[in-house]
Amino acid sequence: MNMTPKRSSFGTYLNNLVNGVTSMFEGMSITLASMFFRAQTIQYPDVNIHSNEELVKDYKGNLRGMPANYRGMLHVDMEICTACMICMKACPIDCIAITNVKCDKRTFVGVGGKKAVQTRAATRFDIDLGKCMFCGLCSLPCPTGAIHHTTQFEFVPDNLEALVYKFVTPQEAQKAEARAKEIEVEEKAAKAAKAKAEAEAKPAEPQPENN
Amino acid sequence: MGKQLRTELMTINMGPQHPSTHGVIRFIIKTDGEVIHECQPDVGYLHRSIEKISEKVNWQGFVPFTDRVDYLASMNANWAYCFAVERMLGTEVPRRAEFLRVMVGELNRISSHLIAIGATAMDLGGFTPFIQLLREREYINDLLEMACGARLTYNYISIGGVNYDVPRNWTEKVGEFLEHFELAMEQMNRLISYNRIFINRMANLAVIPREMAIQYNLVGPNLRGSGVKFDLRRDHPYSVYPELDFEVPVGVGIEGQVGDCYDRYHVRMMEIRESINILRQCIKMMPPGEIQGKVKNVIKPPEGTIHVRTETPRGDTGYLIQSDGKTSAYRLKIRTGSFTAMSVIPAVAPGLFIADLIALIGSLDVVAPELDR
Ligand code: SF4
Ligand code: SF4
Repeated sequence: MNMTPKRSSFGTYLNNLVNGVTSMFEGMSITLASMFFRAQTIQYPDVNIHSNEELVKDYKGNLRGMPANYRGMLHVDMEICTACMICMKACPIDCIAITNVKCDKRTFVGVGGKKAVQTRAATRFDIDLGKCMFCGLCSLPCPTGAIHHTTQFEFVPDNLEALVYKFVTPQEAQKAEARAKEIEVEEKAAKAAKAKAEAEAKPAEPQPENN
Repeated sequence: MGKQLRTELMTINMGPQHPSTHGVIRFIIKTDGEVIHECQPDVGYLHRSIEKISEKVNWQGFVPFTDRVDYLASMNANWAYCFAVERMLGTEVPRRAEFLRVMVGELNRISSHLIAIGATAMDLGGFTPFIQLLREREYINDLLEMACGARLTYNYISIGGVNYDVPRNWTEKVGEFLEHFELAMEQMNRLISYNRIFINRMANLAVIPREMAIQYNLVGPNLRGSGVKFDLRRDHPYSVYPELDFEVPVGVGIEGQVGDCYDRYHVRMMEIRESINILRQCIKMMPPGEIQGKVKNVIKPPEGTIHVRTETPRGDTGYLIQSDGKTSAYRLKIRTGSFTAMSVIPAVAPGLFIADLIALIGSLDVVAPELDR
């Protein structure tokens, strides 16, 4: 079939033999040459690949260290998270779970210079990194840049539950809930006071007070 | 003489776990000694209901799943899907985003072809080319990682543009890589393409004639390997391909007959060269500007059905999308090149040796996840 020449003669046989052997030596010469190339691989756990300096020091190949935009483990900066739940809705596989309550109004500048207004605080912010596929769809629409990928990729725990990262501690959640209750009371009082003031301002038409 | 010896065909299974099937595929082979009488591919081991998932997640959220359709060329898979949704929405994609898409798409095409070539060589017993080509692929992965932060499942192309802008010196880095890569390809040619042993092994093997290739709906390099000059980038141009100048390489029976394994291999080699060409032009033409078109936060394409085809490394990938105006697709069908490439195997395999079947699978560049979705 493939290797059978049309007419077998000693000449063709010899020709094939010579061709085969030269091809082999051609390949061998390339293999031999690459023995003297700089090594392209690194001894991974021994070399800290997060620090570019250390990598460059030990490594003579052409590969670079990890870029800063590497999509590794997710992290949330709770200082600038407004608990708006946009990331939760953007995640296609529902890794993120957020619950929020009212909080004191706060205006600040997020990552990238965007101004943000916080009116709610998270009482729960869990990311199940066991399910996460590091697609980046949650970090893209975040208005403040609170949720972002880090270059960290070594986070293997010994049980699955440990992969659910909780960014709000129970104490913080309790505090936020307590504050939310206070705010509710304050708001109710403010509302009542406002209604009373309005009623006093218009004495000609007495309104039935049903607050 | 005594009794006649009874002979019968032997049925053997190749796969599902077989190193040369490039994923989980099973071949049921009826053999007469070393010669194949019948070969029936059995697919479905990697079915992950990706089409069904599209009915559950929102339009933008389905992009990462298209990565998993063809993990060797996820950029192109992203692109095909996003292009289809954009056509439904009527979104304008900014020019810079189009150029970025072409660049990452061509880089990804090169890296996919490197795997195809390397795997073919490895299946035929040459381990060195595979390692060397994987090393070259790492450079491409580095470049794509600089652009989007991931090395395999990119999720870079989004509906309406691309997700991230590239670093400032990225195009120069691509240029540097191309300089280096052309030399490496020369070396690869010496190592495999001109290697007499490799040529004799591939030439005149498993010939798929022009008519048969069209009948079986082969696409991409497999179709062009049979001498059909058809490339969606040229014949149904999309994106900025009309502005770019490139050839469509076809198989001409360079070492044997038109449509043999070597032709399919050779077309891939030539396509890498054309991709280098395209990349060079893109580096020169890359405009500054926006990278994301105007797309609403919640995408709701109008009711209707659309079928969009794009040229991916494994041929033409079609997305048939039916929308009922909701936040996720009503029905989505993915048509991939590997599936039809698989269907031609029963037709050409009879008469081959078992070892040649492996060369055939390698030359068709079948990727199992794309086969089953
Ligand atoms: S999108 Fe950003 S700000 Fe909003 S909840 Fe998520 S992390 Fe917080
Ligand atoms: S990276 Fe993707 S999968 Fe992971 S939490 Fe974000 S959106 Fe979800």
